[in-house]
Amino acid sequence: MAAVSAHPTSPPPPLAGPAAAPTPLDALAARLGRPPKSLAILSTLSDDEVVTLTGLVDAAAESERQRILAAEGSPRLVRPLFRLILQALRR
Amino acid sequence: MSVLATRAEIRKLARLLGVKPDRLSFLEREGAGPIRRVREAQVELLFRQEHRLFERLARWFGWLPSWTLAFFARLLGPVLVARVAGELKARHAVEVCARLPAPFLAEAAMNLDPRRARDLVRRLPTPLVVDAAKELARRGDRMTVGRFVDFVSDDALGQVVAILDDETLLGAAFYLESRTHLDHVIRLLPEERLGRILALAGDSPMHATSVLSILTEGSHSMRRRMGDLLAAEPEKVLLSLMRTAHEEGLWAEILPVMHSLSPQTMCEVVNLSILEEPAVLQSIGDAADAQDLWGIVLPMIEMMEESIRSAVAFSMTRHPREALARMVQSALIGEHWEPLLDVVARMPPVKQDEFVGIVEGLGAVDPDLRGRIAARAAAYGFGDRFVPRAVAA
Repeated sequence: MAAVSAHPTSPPPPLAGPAAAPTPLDALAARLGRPPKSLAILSTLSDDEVVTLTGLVDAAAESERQRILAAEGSPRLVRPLFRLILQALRR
Repeated sequence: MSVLATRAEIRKLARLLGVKPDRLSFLEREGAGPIRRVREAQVELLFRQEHRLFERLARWFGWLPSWTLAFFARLLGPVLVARVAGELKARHAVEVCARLPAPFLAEAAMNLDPRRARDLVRRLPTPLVVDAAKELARRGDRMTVGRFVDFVSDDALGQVVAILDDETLLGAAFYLESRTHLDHVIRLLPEERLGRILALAGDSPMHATSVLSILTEGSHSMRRRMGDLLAAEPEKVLLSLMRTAHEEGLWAEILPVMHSLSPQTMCEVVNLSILEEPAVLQSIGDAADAQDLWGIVLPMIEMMEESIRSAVAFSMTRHPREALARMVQSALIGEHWEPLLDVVARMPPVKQDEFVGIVEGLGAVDPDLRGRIAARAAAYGFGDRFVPRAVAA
C-alpha cells in the first residue's frame, strides 16, 4: 500500500495581513447578535444609513430595558416594590 | 414582495423602535424581506436582554396556582407579563390568561412577540381571543391584530373575522405577517361582506391603499374574485384605487393585478377616465418599461376605447426609441402586434418611422415577419412608411 505523502499538495495559506476594520454593517450585526453575513441583504444602505439604524436599534433596546426595570405598567402603589424585586432577580 | 408590503414592514419596525415611520423611509428600497429580518433580530435582541430575570420570574410563577398568578400578573402589569408569558409553560399561561380582563390581554398582546409564544396563542380559548381582538379594534390597533392572525387557532380566527368591523379587518390585512395567510382569511369572508370591505376603498386613500395591498399580495384567483366584486361597486371605488395607485407610485405592482382580472372587469378598469390623464399614462408607461411589463400592457390597450388609445399613443411619443423597441420585443414574444400597430398608427410620422426601423431590424432575420407587419401596418393606414425600404431591399 502506498504511503500517504507527508508533503501537502495545496499551497500554504497566505500570510495573515492586518485585520480589516469592522464596517457599520458589521457593527449593526454585532448589536443584533447576528453573524455579519446575515445582514449582507442590507448592502444597498449607505454607511450613514446603517449608522442611523444602529443608533435606533441601540436606543430602542435601552428604552425597553428601562421600561422593564421601571416595572412600567404595574400599579403605582406596588411599582417601587417590584422595582426592588426585579433588581434583586437580575443579580 | 410588493412596495406596500415593504411599507407595512417599515411601520412595524418603526413601532418596535419607537420612532415615526418617516425616520425609516431610507429602508424602502431594501424590500420587505430584509426589513423583516432586522425586525425579527431586534425582537430577539429585546427578549434576550434581561432574559435571566424573566426566566427566574417564570420559575417562581410556575409554582403558583393560576388564580394567585393572575393576581400577581395584574400587579406586574401587561408589559412585564408579556415577557414572562413567553417563558411559562403554555398550559399554565393559558389558565392565567383566562383569569385576566380583555383590556389587560390586549395591552399584553401589543408587547408580546407571537412567534415566541406561539403555543400559548394557539391554545387560548376562542372567547378570550375574540374579547382581546375586540379590545384591540376598539383601540384602533390594527397592526397588533394583523400580527396575531397567523398564530391563533382556525376556530378563533373564524370568530375574530366574524366580529371585527370592516375597517379593522381591512387595516389588519395590511399588516398580516404571512401574506400566504391572506387568501385563507379572505376565503372566510362571505361574498357580500368582502364586497363591502373592498368598497371602503372609495371612502379614503388609506382604505384604498389597504385594498391595493390585498390585491397585490393575493393569489391570481383571489385577485380575479376581488376584481369582479370591485367592478360591481360604483365607479368611484375603482377610480379611488387607480388614483391611489398613481399617487403612491404603485403601477409596477398594479399592472400585474390588472392582468389577473376577468376580461369584463379589465375592460371596465382600462376605460376609466383617469387613464386619459397624461401624467397617469406617463407613469404607467415608465413602470411598464422599467419592469418589462409591456407584455401585460399591450393586451389591455386592445380593450381600450378610441379616446384612451389615442391618449396612450400620445403618451408613448414621449418615450425614447429604446422603449418602443422593448414594446416591439414584447409584441413579438406575446404576438401582441395588433394593439401595438393600433397605437403606432396614432403616433406622429417620426415615431412611426422609428417603429418601422425597429421592424426592419427584425426583418433582416425574419423577412416573413416584416412582410406580415408591413401588410398589417397598411391596414392601419401607415404601411407607406415601409414601402421605400421594401423596394430598396
